[in-house]
Amino acid sequence: MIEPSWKERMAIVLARDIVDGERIISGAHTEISFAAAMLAQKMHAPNIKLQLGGTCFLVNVTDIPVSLPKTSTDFRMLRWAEIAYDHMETFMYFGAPGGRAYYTGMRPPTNKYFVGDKFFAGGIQVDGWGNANMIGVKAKDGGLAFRGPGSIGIPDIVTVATPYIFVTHHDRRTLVDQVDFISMHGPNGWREHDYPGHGPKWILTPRCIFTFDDGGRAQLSGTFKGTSPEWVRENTGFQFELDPDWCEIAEPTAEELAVLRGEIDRDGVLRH
Amino acid sequence: MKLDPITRANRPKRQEVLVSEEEAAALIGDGDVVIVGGFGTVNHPMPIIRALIRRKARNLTVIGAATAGLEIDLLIGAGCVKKVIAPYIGAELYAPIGHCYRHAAENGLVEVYETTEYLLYSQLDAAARGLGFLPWRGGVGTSIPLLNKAYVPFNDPINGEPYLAAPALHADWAIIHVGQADIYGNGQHGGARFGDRLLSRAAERVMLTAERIVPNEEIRKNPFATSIAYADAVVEAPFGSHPFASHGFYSEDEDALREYVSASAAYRKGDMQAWHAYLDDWITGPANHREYLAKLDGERLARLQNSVHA
Repeated sequence: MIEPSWKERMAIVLARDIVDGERIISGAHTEISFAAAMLAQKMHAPNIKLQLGGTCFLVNVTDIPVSLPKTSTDFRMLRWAEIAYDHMETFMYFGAPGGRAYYTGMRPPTNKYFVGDKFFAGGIQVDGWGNANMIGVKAKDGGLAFRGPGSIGIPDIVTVATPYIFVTHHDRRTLVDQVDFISMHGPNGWREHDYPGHGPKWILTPRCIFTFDDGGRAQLSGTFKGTSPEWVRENTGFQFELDPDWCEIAEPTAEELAVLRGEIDRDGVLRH
Repeated sequence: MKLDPITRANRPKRQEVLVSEEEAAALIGDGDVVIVGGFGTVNHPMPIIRALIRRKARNLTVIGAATAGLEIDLLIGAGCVKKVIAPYIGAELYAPIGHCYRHAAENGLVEVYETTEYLLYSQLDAAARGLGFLPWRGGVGTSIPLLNKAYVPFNDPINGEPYLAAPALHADWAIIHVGQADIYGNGQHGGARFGDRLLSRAAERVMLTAERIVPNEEIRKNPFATSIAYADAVVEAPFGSHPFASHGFYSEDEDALREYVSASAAYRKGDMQAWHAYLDDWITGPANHREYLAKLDGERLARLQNSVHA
C-alpha cells in the first residue's frame, strides 16, 4: 500500500469526526474537505445532508464513484445533486433554530436543510485563541503587507455552524501568536462578548490537531505519524499546552484509503 | 372625461434590446456602480468585460459575486476600477487570491470594501426591496465593521441580539451571463444560477450576455426557467463566459486560465510588459467577441463543450 499523503491523512481524520445525520457544508477551494465529507457519506454517514461547494446543492454520492472536482462550481457535480438552489438561498435559511438555546449547545430538533452543523474554514493566519484571519497581514507601517483572499462566507456560517479550521501549511507564519485581523473568532470571542455562534472545534494542520481547552486556548490533542510534539512546538508561532489525552492519531486504515482512492480521489489529487 | 378609443393603427413595436457588446459597454458610464454576475470560475459576462476594457472605462465601483472570480481581477489590472466590493476575489486552485487584486489592494490602487457573503447579499436584498438596510448577524465582533464603517452595530430591538445594519447597496447596472435569452431581455440560466437572480434585482438596470438567442416562444415554453426578465440589453455571446465555464454549455478552459494567472502574476511582480502583452493579445487586440472567438480554434472549443459530458 502506498504511504498516505498528508492531505489524505487530513481528509480521513475530518471524515472520522463527522456524525451520521449531520448537516455538512464544504465550501470553496477545499479538495481536502470535499474528500472528507464524501468519504464520510460513503463510509459511516449516509444520512448527512451534504452541501458541496458554491453551486449549492445537496449531494448523494453514497453509491456512485466520483472524482474530486477542480473547482467548487464544477457543473459535473450537479449529477450528484438531489436538489439545487440559488446561492443566496443557503443563507436565507441559515437562521439559528431556537434562538439563544442553539448557541449554548441545546440544539432543538430541526429538519431545516440549509442550516449547517459543521463546516470547514481556512485561514492565512490562525492564533492560539482560535481566531482566523482571511483579510490580510499588516505591514510595519500599518498598511497591508499581504492582501488575503477575503472573508468569504466564513463570518456568516460560523454564527450557526461549528467550523473546523484547516491550514495547508504548518509554520510560524500561518500559526501565529496573534492574528492581524479577525474574520472569525475563536471560542472566547463568542463566550466573552455574547456574539452569536461558537468557536471552532479544531485547528487541523498537515502535522497535527489542536482542540480547545475550557479556557478557549488551543491545546495539542493529536499528532500525525512522524510528527512529535517537540516538532509542533518548534514550528508553531503560539504557545500551547499538551492535551492530557494527547495521542498519536491512528493511521488511515486500508479500508479508508481504498474507498478514498478508489471511489473519490481516483485521479490522486490528494497525493500531489 | 374623454377617453379616446384605442386602435392598432400606429401601434408601437415591442421593444427589442439586442445590442453588440460594444454598444452594451457604452451604456455603462465612467464612475458607475456595476454588479458582475457569475460565481468563481463560472458564468461571467466576458464580452462586455472585455469591451469595457477596450473602451477604457474608468473609476468603476465594481460589486463582485459572493465568490468573485478573475473577471474582477482583470478589470482591476486593466485600470477600470476605483473601488471593489466582494467577499472574495480569486479562482480557488488556479489562483487562491487574484494577483491584480492583491497588488492593487496592497498598494492602495483600489479601495477595498471589506465584506462577507451574506452582508453583501443583505445589502443587495435591501436595495432590491427598497429598504435602507437589513440586519445580519455575520461579521459581528470581527474586524469587518472596524475596517468598513458602512456596517453599523446595533442590538435587535426584539431579542437584544447584536447585529450589524447592512446598508442597501445601489448599483447602476448588473451584467449577467445566461444560457439563453430572447430579444426582449428574458434570460434563462443553463445550470446553477448562484446569486444572479438577486444581483439582477438589486441593480437599476440589467444587461445580459447569452450563449444563444432563442425565439420568445422558447422562453414561454418554460417560464419557471426564466431567471431574469426584461433586461435592458442583451448581447448574443456564444462561448461568452470563456475562459470561464458556462453551466450547461462548456467547462472552464484550464490552459487559458493558467495563461491569465501567469500574466497577472507578472503584473503583481511589476512586469508590466508581460501584462500588457497579455492584454494586447486577448483583451484589447480582438476588436470584438467574434474576433476573440476566432483566436480560439474550433477543436479547442469543442473539447470544452464535450468535457461537460465527461
